[in-house]
Amino acid sequence: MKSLASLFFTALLFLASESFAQQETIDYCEREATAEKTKKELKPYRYSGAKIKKLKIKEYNQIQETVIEMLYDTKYKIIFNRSGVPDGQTVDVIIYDKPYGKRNREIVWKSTDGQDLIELETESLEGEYDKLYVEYEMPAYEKEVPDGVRIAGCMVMTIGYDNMTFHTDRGSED
Amino acid sequence: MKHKFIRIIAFALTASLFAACGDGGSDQKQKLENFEEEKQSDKSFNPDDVERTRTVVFPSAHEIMTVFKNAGLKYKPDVTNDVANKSNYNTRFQKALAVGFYTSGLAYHVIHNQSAEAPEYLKVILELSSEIGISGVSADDELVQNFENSMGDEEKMLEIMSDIQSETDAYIADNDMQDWQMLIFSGAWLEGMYIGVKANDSYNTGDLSRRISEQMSILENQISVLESTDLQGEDFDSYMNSLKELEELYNSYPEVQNAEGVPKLGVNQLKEISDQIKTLRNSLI
Repeated sequence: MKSLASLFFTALLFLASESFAQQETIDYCEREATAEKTKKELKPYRYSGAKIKKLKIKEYNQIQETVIEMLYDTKYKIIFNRSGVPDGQTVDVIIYDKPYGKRNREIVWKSTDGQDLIELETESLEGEYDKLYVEYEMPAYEKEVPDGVRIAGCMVMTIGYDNMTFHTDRGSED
Repeated sequence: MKHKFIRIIAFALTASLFAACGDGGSDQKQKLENFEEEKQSDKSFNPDDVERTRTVVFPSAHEIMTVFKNAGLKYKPDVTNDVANKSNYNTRFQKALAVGFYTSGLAYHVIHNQSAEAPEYLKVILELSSEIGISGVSADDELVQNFENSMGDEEKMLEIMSDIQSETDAYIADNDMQDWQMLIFSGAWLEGMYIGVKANDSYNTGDLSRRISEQMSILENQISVLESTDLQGEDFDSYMNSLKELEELYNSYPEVQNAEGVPKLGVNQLKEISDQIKTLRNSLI
């Protein structure tokens, strides 16, 4: 009887693992191609870094915040690549001057038109910032997802800096 | 009874196998598009009622070195961590920090056009990266060969460094290694600060000091991101305590508390900060 019980639990484990195996992920993200394409658009700025955010489709609203630490007197170009966002999901990119929860937080830039490739040069912003608070606003996914299917994607943000920019008359009390 | 039970299990196993081999491999994207029926949902977007995640992007080592150079950082031989120290790093924690140290060292050599040492630095970076599981670029990659062939050409070398970093960033994202990436950044930051303060031994309060002060303001976010990682262990805890002590010291200055923009530190304050950075860095190399 003991061996029968052991056989039963083995079978249960097997069935459980099979049901996990049936979970299929549809990933819209082609990271390397997306990152490479985005990087090419940086010129003449020099590559500083990239943040590839994995997106998971959910039935509720999500916000992913990325803080960009910037150096004074340095111009930046920030490129967002939405080509890895799953069909049916929108991602609005909104940049604030302060983190969520801070008083008098203001939007300094936003892109809600759904274009795949969007660019921002910090020189075009009205204020001067040492940090930018980028938010990806993702409304709840509205399409029906078949059982056993998980949908994923990504947003790629690539940052370039202009190393030739340098002024000594800013950001200090002297 | 026993035979009947075994038959039930056998049937269940067979059924599950068929289910697994069914149309799971077909083009699910098409299948998804066929689902026309959309659920009715509330389209309003209340920022207070959402799931939130947060990450931080820090400046790269060559970006920090570039602004230091523009602020007057001169080249001094022997200021960077010697590649011969590579054998000192045994744990994953030590190796990750060391990758950061050598990354800043490499950037320092390249932006000062002292490229003779650069290939050795790159080689050690790639070897240590591989040892901690980050193998976006290997030591025999074409990029490394191109790097060696570009010696003397600062622009070309920086471009290749950017390419290597870009491939590493993609590898890290694919393999969920952001915790280790953060530790590498922290090592690069510490070594960058060390080089900055060593080059400013006379504690002049001009542009370079301002840049050092600016880098200190990055420390707060650095600590908060490191704390949010799954990294742990005695080495890590001790390192975190040292970073927090450094932050506390910096934040204790009235010039920092009352500053708008980058605080301007006095000579004594610069010396205190510099000493603490040197002590921490030297305890880790």
